[in-house]
Amino acid sequence: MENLGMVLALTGAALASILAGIGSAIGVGKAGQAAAGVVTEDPAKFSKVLIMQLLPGTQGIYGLLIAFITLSQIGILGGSAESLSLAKGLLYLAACLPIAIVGLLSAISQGKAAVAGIMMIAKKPDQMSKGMIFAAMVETYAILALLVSILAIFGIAGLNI
Amino acid sequence: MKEYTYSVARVRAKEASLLTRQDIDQLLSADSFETALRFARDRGYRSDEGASVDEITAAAERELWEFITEIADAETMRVMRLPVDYHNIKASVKAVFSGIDGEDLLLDHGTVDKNLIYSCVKRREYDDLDKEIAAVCEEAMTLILRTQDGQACDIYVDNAMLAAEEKAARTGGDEFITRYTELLADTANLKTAYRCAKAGRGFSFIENAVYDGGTLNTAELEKAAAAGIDSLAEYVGTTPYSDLAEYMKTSAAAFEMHCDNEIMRFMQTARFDSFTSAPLIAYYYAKKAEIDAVRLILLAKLNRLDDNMIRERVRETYV
Repeated sequence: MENLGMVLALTGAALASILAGIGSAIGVGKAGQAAAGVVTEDPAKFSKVLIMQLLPGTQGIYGLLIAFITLSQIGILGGSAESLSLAKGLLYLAACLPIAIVGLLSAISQGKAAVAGIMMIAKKPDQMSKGMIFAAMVETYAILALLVSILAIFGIAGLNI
Repeated sequence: MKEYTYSVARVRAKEASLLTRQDIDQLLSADSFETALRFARDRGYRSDEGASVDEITAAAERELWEFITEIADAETMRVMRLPVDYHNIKASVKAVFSGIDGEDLLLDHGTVDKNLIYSCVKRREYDDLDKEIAAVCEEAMTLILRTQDGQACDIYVDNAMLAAEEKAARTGGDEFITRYTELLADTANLKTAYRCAKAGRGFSFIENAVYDGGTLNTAELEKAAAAGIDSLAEYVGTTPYSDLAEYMKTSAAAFEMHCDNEIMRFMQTARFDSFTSAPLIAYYYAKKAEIDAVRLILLAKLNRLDDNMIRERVRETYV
Protein backbone atom coordinates (compact mmCIF):
# COMPACT_ATOMS: atom_id res chain seq x y z
CA MET A 1 0.00 0.00 0.00
CA GLU A 2 2.90 2.39 -0.52
CA ASN A 3 0.93 4.19 -3.24
CA LEU A 4 -2.09 4.87 -1.02
CA GLY A 5 -1.23 8.59 -0.98
CA MET A 6 -1.49 8.73 -4.74
CA VAL A 7 -4.80 6.80 -4.66
CA LEU A 8 -6.27 9.26 -2.16
CA ALA A 9 -5.15 12.30 -4.14
CA LEU A 10 -6.62 10.89 -7.32
CA THR A 11 -9.87 10.13 -5.46
CA GLY A 12 -10.01 13.81 -4.52
CA ALA A 13 -9.55 14.91 -8.12
CA ALA A 14 -12.19 12.44 -9.24
CA LEU A 15 -14.65 13.61 -6.58
CA ALA A 16 -14.18 17.26 -7.59
CA SER A 17 -15.09 16.55 -11.18
CA ILE A 18 -17.77 13.94 -10.40
CA LEU A 19 -19.77 15.80 -7.73
CA ALA A 20 -19.50 19.28 -9.22
CA GLY A 21 -20.30 17.76 -12.62
CA ILE A 22 -23.40 15.99 -11.27
CA GLY A 23 -24.58 19.22 -9.66
CA SER A 24 -24.16 21.19 -12.87
CA ALA A 25 -25.83 18.49 -14.92
CA ILE A 26 -28.88 18.55 -12.61
CA GLY A 27 -28.97 22.37 -12.53
CA VAL A 28 -28.57 22.83 -16.27
CA GLY A 29 -31.08 20.02 -16.85
CA LYS A 30 -33.77 21.64 -14.71
CA ALA A 31 -33.16 25.03 -16.30
CA GLY A 32 -33.23 23.36 -19.71
CA GLN A 33 -36.70 21.99 -19.07
CA ALA A 34 -37.98 25.42 -18.14
CA ALA A 35 -36.18 27.01 -21.10
CA ALA A 36 -37.75 24.49 -23.49
CA GLY A 37 -41.17 25.29 -22.04
CA VAL A 38 -40.74 29.01 -22.65
CA VAL A 39 -39.31 28.52 -26.15
CA THR A 40 -42.25 26.21 -27.05
CA GLU A 41 -44.59 29.15 -26.50
CA ASP A 42 -42.28 31.92 -27.66
CA PRO A 43 -39.26 30.90 -29.79
CA ALA A 44 -38.03 34.51 -29.85
CA LYS A 45 -36.90 34.16 -26.21
CA PHE A 46 -34.34 31.45 -27.06
CA SER A 47 -31.20 33.54 -26.56
CA LYS A 48 -32.45 35.05 -23.32
CA VAL A 49 -33.33 31.75 -21.69
CA LEU A 50 -30.17 30.05 -23.00
CA ILE A 51 -27.98 32.40 -20.98
CA MET A 52 -30.01 31.58 -17.87
CA GLN A 53 -29.74 27.87 -18.57
CA LEU A 54 -25.94 28.03 -18.73
CA LEU A 55 -25.50 29.68 -15.31
CA PRO A 56 -25.56 26.45 -13.24
CA GLY A 57 -22.97 24.95 -15.61
CA THR A 58 -19.99 26.77 -14.08
CA GLN A 59 -19.64 24.48 -11.05
CA GLY A 60 -18.81 21.58 -13.36
CA ILE A 61 -16.04 23.70 -14.90
CA TYR A 62 -14.70 24.59 -11.44
CA GLY A 63 -14.64 20.88 -10.54
CA LEU A 64 -12.75 20.14 -13.75
CA LEU A 65 -10.25 22.92 -13.02
CA ILE A 66 -9.54 21.56 -9.52
CA ALA A 67 -9.21 18.03 -10.90
CA PHE A 68 -6.69 19.27 -13.51
CA ILE A 69 -4.60 21.18 -11.01
CA THR A 70 -4.54 18.22 -8.62
CA LEU A 71 -3.60 15.81 -11.40
CA SER A 72 -0.75 18.02 -12.54
CA GLN A 73 0.46 18.63 -8.95
CA ILE A 74 0.69 14.91 -8.23
CA GLY A 75 2.32 14.27 -11.58
CA ILE A 76 -0.34 12.11 -13.18
CA LEU A 77 -0.68 14.77 -15.85
CA GLY A 78 2.72 15.22 -17.46
CA GLY A 79 3.89 11.72 -16.59
CA SER A 80 6.16 12.62 -13.68
CA ALA A 81 4.21 10.75 -11.03
CA GLU A 82 6.26 9.84 -8.01
CA SER A 83 5.11 8.15 -4.86
CA LEU A 84 3.08 10.42 -2.61
CA SER A 85 3.07 10.18 1.17
CA LEU A 86 -0.19 9.08 2.81
CA ALA A 87 -0.50 12.43 4.60
CA LYS A 88 -0.06 14.40 1.38
CA GLY A 89 -2.55 12.20 -0.43
CA LEU A 90 -5.11 12.80 2.33
CA LEU A 91 -4.42 16.54 2.19
CA TYR A 92 -5.08 16.62 -1.56
CA LEU A 93 -8.29 14.69 -0.99
CA ALA A 94 -9.37 17.19 1.68
CA ALA A 95 -8.42 20.12 -0.56
CA CYS A 96 -10.69 18.83 -3.32
CA LEU A 97 -13.73 18.47 -1.05
CA PRO A 98 -14.87 22.14 -0.91
CA ILE A 99 -15.52 22.43 -4.63
CA ALA A 100 -16.82 18.85 -4.81
CA ILE A 101 -19.50 19.30 -2.15
CA VAL A 102 -20.31 22.99 -2.58
CA GLY A 103 -20.22 22.53 -6.35
CA LEU A 104 -22.81 19.75 -6.15
CA LEU A 105 -25.25 21.57 -3.90
CA SER A 106 -24.81 25.09 -5.25
CA ALA A 107 -25.34 23.98 -8.85
CA ILE A 108 -28.64 22.33 -7.91
CA SER A 109 -29.75 25.43 -6.02
CA GLN A 110 -28.60 27.68 -8.82
CA GLY A 111 -30.58 25.52 -11.22
CA LYS A 112 -33.74 26.22 -9.22
CA ALA A 113 -33.02 29.95 -9.17
CA ALA A 114 -32.39 29.82 -12.94
CA VAL A 115 -35.74 28.05 -13.45
CA ALA A 116 -37.49 30.83 -11.54
CA GLY A 117 -35.54 33.41 -13.58
CA ILE A 118 -36.53 31.74 -16.85
CA MET A 119 -40.17 31.85 -15.78
CA MET A 120 -39.72 35.51 -14.96
CA ILE A 121 -38.39 36.07 -18.50
CA ALA A 122 -41.48 34.28 -19.84
CA LYS A 123 -43.72 36.87 -18.22
CA LYS A 124 -41.48 39.94 -18.11
CA PRO A 125 -38.68 39.68 -20.69
CA ASP A 126 -37.45 43.19 -19.89
CA GLN A 127 -36.54 42.06 -16.35
CA MET A 128 -34.02 39.48 -17.58
CA SER A 129 -30.96 41.10 -15.99
CA LYS A 130 -32.58 40.92 -12.55
CA GLY A 131 -33.31 37.23 -13.04
CA MET A 132 -29.67 36.69 -13.93
CA ILE A 133 -28.48 38.51 -10.82
CA PHE A 134 -30.68 36.34 -8.57
CA ALA A 135 -29.26 33.16 -10.06
CA ALA A 136 -25.71 34.53 -10.14
CA MET A 137 -25.86 35.23 -6.37
CA VAL A 138 -25.61 31.48 -5.79
CA GLU A 139 -22.37 31.48 -7.78
CA THR A 140 -20.64 33.37 -4.96
CA TYR A 141 -20.49 30.26 -2.81
CA ALA A 142 -19.17 28.06 -5.58
CA ILE A 143 -16.41 30.63 -6.21
CA LEU A 144 -15.52 30.75 -2.49
CA ALA A 145 -15.23 26.96 -2.43
CA LEU A 146 -13.14 27.02 -5.63
CA LEU A 147 -10.81 29.56 -4.05
CA VAL A 148 -10.32 27.46 -0.91
CA SER A 149 -9.64 24.34 -2.99
CA ILE A 150 -7.08 26.15 -5.20
CA LEU A 151 -5.25 27.78 -2.28
CA ALA A 152 -5.13 24.49 -0.42
CA ILE A 153 -3.81 22.48 -3.38
CA PHE A 154 -1.04 24.94 -4.15
CA GLY A 155 -0.19 25.12 -0.44
CA ILE A 156 0.16 21.36 -0.11
CA ALA A 157 2.88 21.20 -2.79
CA GLY A 158 5.29 23.17 -0.63
CA LEU A 159 4.73 21.09 2.50
CA ASN A 160 7.49 18.72 3.41
CA ILE A 161 5.56 15.76 4.82
CA MET B 1 -42.42 13.96 -6.29
CA LYS B 2 -43.19 14.49 -9.96
CA GLU B 3 -41.84 17.75 -11.35
CA TYR B 4 -43.61 19.88 -13.92
CA THR B 5 -40.87 22.41 -14.75
CA TYR B 6 -41.39 22.28 -18.54
CA SER B 7 -45.17 22.56 -18.24
CA VAL B 8 -45.00 25.36 -15.68
CA ALA B 9 -42.67 27.32 -17.96
CA ARG B 10 -45.20 26.98 -20.79
CA VAL B 11 -47.94 28.13 -18.44
CA ARG B 12 -45.88 31.15 -17.36
CA ALA B 13 -45.41 32.12 -20.99
CA LYS B 14 -49.16 31.79 -21.55
CA GLU B 15 -50.02 33.72 -18.40
CA ALA B 16 -48.53 36.82 -19.99
CA SER B 17 -51.53 36.89 -22.33
CA LEU B 18 -54.23 36.38 -19.67
CA LEU B 19 -56.56 39.35 -19.32
CA THR B 20 -55.76 41.62 -16.39
CA ARG B 21 -58.28 43.51 -14.29
CA GLN B 22 -57.60 46.60 -16.46
CA ASP B 23 -58.39 44.60 -19.60
CA ILE B 24 -61.66 43.41 -18.09
CA ASP B 25 -62.52 46.99 -17.08
CA GLN B 26 -61.76 48.17 -20.60
CA LEU B 27 -64.00 45.44 -21.99
CA LEU B 28 -66.70 46.48 -19.53
CA SER B 29 -66.50 50.11 -20.52
CA ALA B 30 -66.80 49.39 -24.25
CA ASP B 31 -69.60 51.54 -25.62
CA SER B 32 -71.03 48.85 -27.88
CA PHE B 33 -71.00 45.12 -28.51
CA GLU B 34 -68.87 45.65 -31.62
CA THR B 35 -66.20 47.58 -29.70
CA ALA B 36 -66.15 44.90 -26.99
CA LEU B 37 -65.90 42.17 -29.62
CA ARG B 38 -63.02 43.93 -31.35
CA PHE B 39 -61.18 44.26 -28.05
CA ALA B 40 -61.74 40.58 -27.24
CA ARG B 41 -60.46 39.64 -30.71
CA ASP B 42 -57.33 41.73 -30.21
CA ARG B 43 -56.69 39.93 -26.95
CA GLY B 44 -56.77 36.43 -28.39
CA TYR B 45 -60.45 35.57 -28.73
CA ARG B 46 -60.12 34.88 -32.41
CA SER B 47 -63.08 33.72 -34.38
CA ASP B 48 -64.57 33.74 -37.83
CA GLU B 49 -66.36 36.84 -38.96
CA GLY B 50 -69.96 36.73 -37.75
CA ALA B 51 -69.36 34.03 -35.11
CA SER B 52 -71.74 34.08 -32.15
CA VAL B 53 -70.56 34.70 -28.57
CA ASP B 54 -71.08 31.01 -27.85
CA GLU B 55 -68.89 30.04 -30.78
CA ILE B 56 -66.18 32.48 -29.75
CA THR B 57 -66.00 31.21 -26.17
CA ALA B 58 -66.35 27.56 -27.26
CA ALA B 59 -63.32 28.05 -29.52
CA ALA B 60 -61.38 29.55 -26.60
CA GLU B 61 -62.32 26.60 -24.40
CA ARG B 62 -61.26 24.15 -27.07
CA GLU B 63 -57.92 25.89 -27.34
CA LEU B 64 -57.53 25.81 -23.55
CA TRP B 65 -58.16 22.06 -23.44
CA GLU B 66 -55.74 21.44 -26.30
CA PHE B 67 -53.07 23.31 -24.34
CA ILE B 68 -53.88 21.54 -21.06
CA THR B 69 -53.78 18.12 -22.75
CA GLU B 70 -50.30 18.93 -24.02
CA ILE B 71 -48.87 19.98 -20.67
CA ALA B 72 -50.61 17.79 -18.10
CA ASP B 73 -51.53 14.12 -17.92
CA ALA B 74 -55.14 13.13 -17.34
CA GLU B 75 -54.52 12.16 -13.72
CA THR B 76 -53.16 15.61 -12.81
CA MET B 77 -56.24 17.30 -14.23
CA ARG B 78 -58.70 14.72 -12.91
CA VAL B 79 -60.28 17.07 -10.37
CA MET B 80 -60.78 19.71 -13.07
CA ARG B 81 -62.36 17.16 -15.42
CA LEU B 82 -64.83 15.69 -12.93
CA PRO B 83 -67.31 18.63 -13.14
CA VAL B 84 -67.68 17.86 -16.86
CA ASP B 85 -68.71 14.25 -16.07
CA TYR B 86 -71.25 15.38 -13.52
CA HIS B 87 -72.63 18.02 -15.86
CA ASN B 88 -73.04 15.28 -18.47
CA ILE B 89 -74.83 13.06 -15.94
CA LYS B 90 -77.27 15.86 -15.10
CA ALA B 91 -77.85 16.71 -18.75
CA SER B 92 -78.33 13.06 -19.73
CA VAL B 93 -80.72 12.27 -16.88
CA LYS B 94 -82.83 15.35 -17.51
CA ALA B 95 -82.88 14.87 -21.28
CA VAL B 96 -83.92 11.23 -20.95
CA PHE B 97 -86.51 12.13 -18.32
CA SER B 98 -88.00 14.88 -20.51
CA GLY B 99 -87.79 12.73 -23.63
CA ILE B 100 -85.65 15.21 -25.56
CA ASP B 101 -82.44 14.65 -27.48
CA GLY B 102 -79.70 15.65 -25.03
CA GLU B 103 -76.59 15.12 -27.14
CA ASP B 104 -76.09 18.83 -27.79
CA LEU B 105 -76.12 19.54 -24.06
CA LEU B 106 -73.11 17.33 -23.33
CA LEU B 107 -69.59 18.67 -22.78
CA ASP B 108 -66.22 17.28 -23.85
CA HIS B 109 -63.09 16.65 -21.78
CA GLY B 110 -64.59 14.74 -18.86
CA THR B 111 -62.90 11.67 -17.42
CA VAL B 112 -65.56 9.51 -19.12
CA ASP B 113 -66.70 9.76 -22.73
CA LYS B 114 -69.81 11.97 -22.84
CA ASN B 115 -71.66 9.69 -25.25
CA LEU B 116 -71.04 6.67 -23.06
CA ILE B 117 -72.73 8.40 -20.12
CA TYR B 118 -75.63 9.46 -22.31
CA SER B 119 -76.16 6.07 -23.91
CA CYS B 120 -75.93 4.27 -20.53
CA VAL B 121 -78.49 6.61 -18.98
CA LYS B 122 -80.71 6.21 -22.02
CA ARG B 123 -80.55 2.42 -21.85
CA ARG B 124 -80.67 2.42 -18.02
CA GLU B 125 -77.77 -0.01 -18.13
CA TYR B 126 -74.76 1.27 -16.31
CA ASP B 127 -72.35 -1.67 -16.48
CA ASP B 128 -70.03 0.03 -18.98
CA LEU B 129 -69.41 2.94 -16.61
CA ASP B 130 -67.04 2.83 -13.67
CA LYS B 131 -68.70 1.96 -10.38
CA GLU B 132 -68.92 5.45 -8.88
CA ILE B 133 -70.28 7.20 -11.97
CA ALA B 134 -72.69 4.30 -12.58
CA ALA B 135 -74.07 4.55 -9.04
CA VAL B 136 -74.61 8.32 -9.40
CA CYS B 137 -76.34 7.91 -12.80
CA GLU B 138 -78.62 5.22 -11.45
CA GLU B 139 -79.52 7.09 -8.30
CA ALA B 140 -80.10 10.38 -10.17
CA MET B 141 -82.39 8.65 -12.66
CA THR B 142 -84.33 6.89 -9.88
CA LEU B 143 -84.61 10.16 -7.97
CA ILE B 144 -85.96 12.19 -10.87
CA LEU B 145 -88.45 9.47 -11.82
CA ARG B 146 -89.65 9.13 -8.24
CA THR B 147 -89.84 12.81 -7.31
CA GLN B 148 -90.26 14.43 -10.77
CA ASP B 149 -88.07 17.13 -9.23
CA GLY B 150 -85.15 18.44 -11.30
CA GLN B 151 -83.78 20.43 -8.38
CA ALA B 152 -83.59 17.37 -6.12
CA CYS B 153 -81.67 15.61 -8.86
CA ASP B 154 -79.29 18.59 -9.23
CA ILE B 155 -78.64 18.68 -5.49
CA TYR B 156 -77.87 14.97 -5.42
CA VAL B 157 -75.53 15.07 -8.44
CA ASP B 158 -73.75 18.25 -7.26
CA ASN B 159 -73.09 16.74 -3.85
CA ALA B 160 -71.89 13.51 -5.45
CA MET B 161 -69.51 15.62 -7.55
CA LEU B 162 -68.06 17.38 -4.51
CA ALA B 163 -67.56 13.97 -2.87
CA ALA B 164 -65.87 12.60 -6.00
CA GLU B 165 -63.58 15.64 -6.16
CA GLU B 166 -62.56 15.31 -2.52
CA LYS B 167 -61.94 11.60 -3.00
CA ALA B 168 -59.86 12.17 -6.15
CA ALA B 169 -57.80 14.81 -4.33
CA ARG B 170 -57.20 12.51 -1.35
CA THR B 171 -56.15 9.67 -3.65
CA GLY B 172 -53.77 11.93 -5.58
CA GLY B 173 -52.30 13.22 -2.31
CA ASP B 174 -51.49 16.66 -3.73
CA GLU B 175 -51.78 19.36 -1.08
CA PHE B 176 -52.79 22.14 -3.49
CA ILE B 177 -55.57 20.10 -5.10
CA THR B 178 -56.80 18.90 -1.70
CA ARG B 179 -57.07 22.47 -0.46
CA TYR B 180 -58.80 23.45 -3.69
CA THR B 181 -61.46 20.75 -3.26
CA GLU B 182 -61.97 21.81 0.36
CA LEU B 183 -62.51 25.38 -0.80
CA LEU B 184 -64.89 24.19 -3.52
CA ALA B 185 -66.92 22.23 -0.97
CA ASP B 186 -66.95 25.09 1.55
CA THR B 187 -67.95 27.78 -0.94
CA ALA B 188 -70.58 25.48 -2.46
CA ASN B 189 -72.01 24.92 1.01
CA LEU B 190 -71.95 28.64 1.80
CA LYS B 191 -73.78 29.42 -1.44
CA THR B 192 -76.34 26.69 -0.82
CA ALA B 193 -76.92 27.82 2.76
CA TYR B 194 -77.24 31.43 1.60
CA ARG B 195 -79.76 30.62 -1.12
CA CYS B 196 -81.77 28.41 1.23
CA ALA B 197 -81.78 31.08 3.95
CA LYS B 198 -82.83 33.71 1.45
CA ALA B 199 -85.65 31.52 0.14
CA GLY B 200 -86.75 30.67 3.70
CA ARG B 201 -86.24 26.92 3.28
CA GLY B 202 -86.84 24.58 6.20
CA PHE B 203 -84.17 22.66 8.08
CA SER B 204 -84.82 19.28 6.44
CA PHE B 205 -84.43 20.75 2.93
CA ILE B 206 -81.23 22.53 3.92
CA GLU B 207 -79.87 19.41 5.61
CA ASN B 208 -80.35 17.50 2.38
CA ALA B 209 -78.96 20.26 0.16
CA VAL B 210 -75.76 21.00 2.08
CA TYR B 211 -72.83 18.73 1.17
CA ASP B 212 -71.52 16.78 4.11
CA GLY B 213 -67.82 17.56 3.63
CA GLY B 214 -65.30 20.39 3.43
CA THR B 215 -63.88 22.09 6.49
CA LEU B 216 -67.01 23.81 7.81
CA ASN B 217 -69.16 22.38 10.58
CA THR B 218 -72.13 21.55 8.36
CA ALA B 219 -74.53 20.84 11.25
CA GLU B 220 -73.97 24.39 12.58
CA LEU B 221 -74.21 25.83 9.07
CA GLU B 222 -77.52 24.08 8.41
CA LYS B 223 -78.99 25.22 11.74
CA ALA B 224 -77.87 28.82 11.11
CA ALA B 225 -79.25 28.85 7.55
CA ALA B 226 -82.62 27.53 8.75
CA ALA B 227 -82.83 30.43 11.22
CA GLY B 228 -82.37 33.05 8.48
CA ILE B 229 -79.77 35.29 6.83
CA ASP B 230 -78.81 37.14 10.02
CA SER B 231 -77.98 34.04 11.99
CA LEU B 232 -76.18 32.58 8.95
CA ALA B 233 -74.05 35.73 8.65
CA GLU B 234 -73.32 35.49 12.37
CA TYR B 235 -72.20 31.87 12.03
CA VAL B 236 -70.08 32.59 8.94
CA GLY B 237 -68.44 35.38 10.95
CA THR B 238 -67.00 32.74 13.29
CA THR B 239 -65.50 30.65 10.46
CA PRO B 240 -62.34 31.25 8.37
CA TYR B 241 -64.69 32.77 5.78
CA SER B 242 -65.73 35.62 8.07
CA ASP B 243 -64.89 38.18 5.32
CA LEU B 244 -67.82 36.81 3.33
CA ALA B 245 -70.38 37.48 6.07
CA GLU B 246 -70.76 41.17 5.22
CA TYR B 247 -71.57 40.42 1.58
CA MET B 248 -74.53 38.28 2.65
CA LYS B 249 -76.37 41.49 3.36
CA THR B 250 -75.74 42.94 -0.12
CA SER B 251 -76.95 40.90 -3.07
CA ALA B 252 -76.91 37.22 -4.01
CA ALA B 253 -74.74 37.97 -7.06
CA ALA B 254 -72.21 39.92 -4.99
CA PHE B 255 -72.03 37.19 -2.34
CA GLU B 256 -71.48 34.43 -4.90
CA MET B 257 -68.86 36.54 -6.65
CA HIS B 258 -66.93 36.94 -3.41
CA CYS B 259 -67.17 33.19 -2.77
CA ASP B 260 -65.55 32.57 -6.16
CA ASN B 261 -62.96 35.27 -5.51
CA GLU B 262 -61.98 33.34 -2.40
CA ILE B 263 -61.02 30.40 -4.66
CA MET B 264 -59.25 32.70 -7.11
CA ARG B 265 -57.17 34.21 -4.31
CA PHE B 266 -56.14 30.70 -3.34
CA MET B 267 -55.23 29.98 -6.97
CA GLN B 268 -53.06 33.10 -7.00
CA THR B 269 -50.74 31.44 -4.45
CA ALA B 270 -49.57 29.18 -7.30
CA ARG B 271 -48.05 32.15 -9.11
CA PHE B 272 -44.78 31.75 -7.21
CA ASP B 273 -44.38 28.03 -7.70
CA SER B 274 -42.08 26.72 -10.44
CA PHE B 275 -41.99 22.96 -10.02
CA THR B 276 -45.35 21.45 -8.98
CA SER B 277 -48.64 20.93 -10.79
CA ALA B 278 -50.30 23.82 -8.91
CA PRO B 279 -49.62 26.46 -11.61
CA LEU B 280 -51.18 24.17 -14.23
CA ILE B 281 -54.36 23.77 -12.18
CA ALA B 282 -54.39 27.50 -11.44
CA TYR B 283 -53.89 28.44 -15.08
CA TYR B 284 -56.75 26.21 -16.15
CA TYR B 285 -58.99 27.70 -13.45
CA ALA B 286 -57.93 31.26 -14.33
CA LYS B 287 -58.38 30.88 -18.08
CA LYS B 288 -61.76 29.20 -17.58
CA ALA B 289 -62.84 32.07 -15.32
CA GLU B 290 -61.58 34.55 -17.91
CA ILE B 291 -63.56 32.87 -20.69
CA ASP B 292 -66.67 32.96 -18.48
CA ALA B 293 -66.12 36.66 -17.78
CA VAL B 294 -65.61 37.50 -21.47
CA ARG B 295 -68.73 35.52 -22.35
CA LEU B 296 -70.76 37.30 -19.66
CA ILE B 297 -69.59 40.75 -20.75
CA LEU B 298 -70.08 40.12 -24.46
CA LEU B 299 -73.58 38.74 -23.91
CA ALA B 300 -74.43 41.67 -21.66
CA LYS B 301 -73.16 44.12 -24.27
CA LEU B 302 -75.11 42.32 -26.96
CA ASN B 303 -78.30 42.56 -24.91
CA ARG B 304 -77.52 46.11 -23.71
CA LEU B 305 -77.68 45.19 -20.03
CA ASP B 306 -76.77 47.66 -17.32
CA ASP B 307 -73.00 47.92 -16.65
CA ASN B 308 -73.41 47.82 -12.89
CA MET B 309 -75.26 44.55 -13.10
CA ILE B 310 -72.34 43.02 -14.98
CA ARG B 311 -69.73 44.53 -12.67
CA GLU B 312 -71.39 42.78 -9.75
CA ARG B 313 -70.84 39.47 -11.50
CA VAL B 314 -67.34 39.79 -12.92
CA ARG B 315 -64.86 37.86 -10.76
CA GLU B 316 -61.34 38.74 -9.70
CA THR B 317 -58.66 37.91 -12.28
CA TYR B 318 -55.59 35.70 -11.80
CA VAL B 319 -52.97 38.19 -13.00
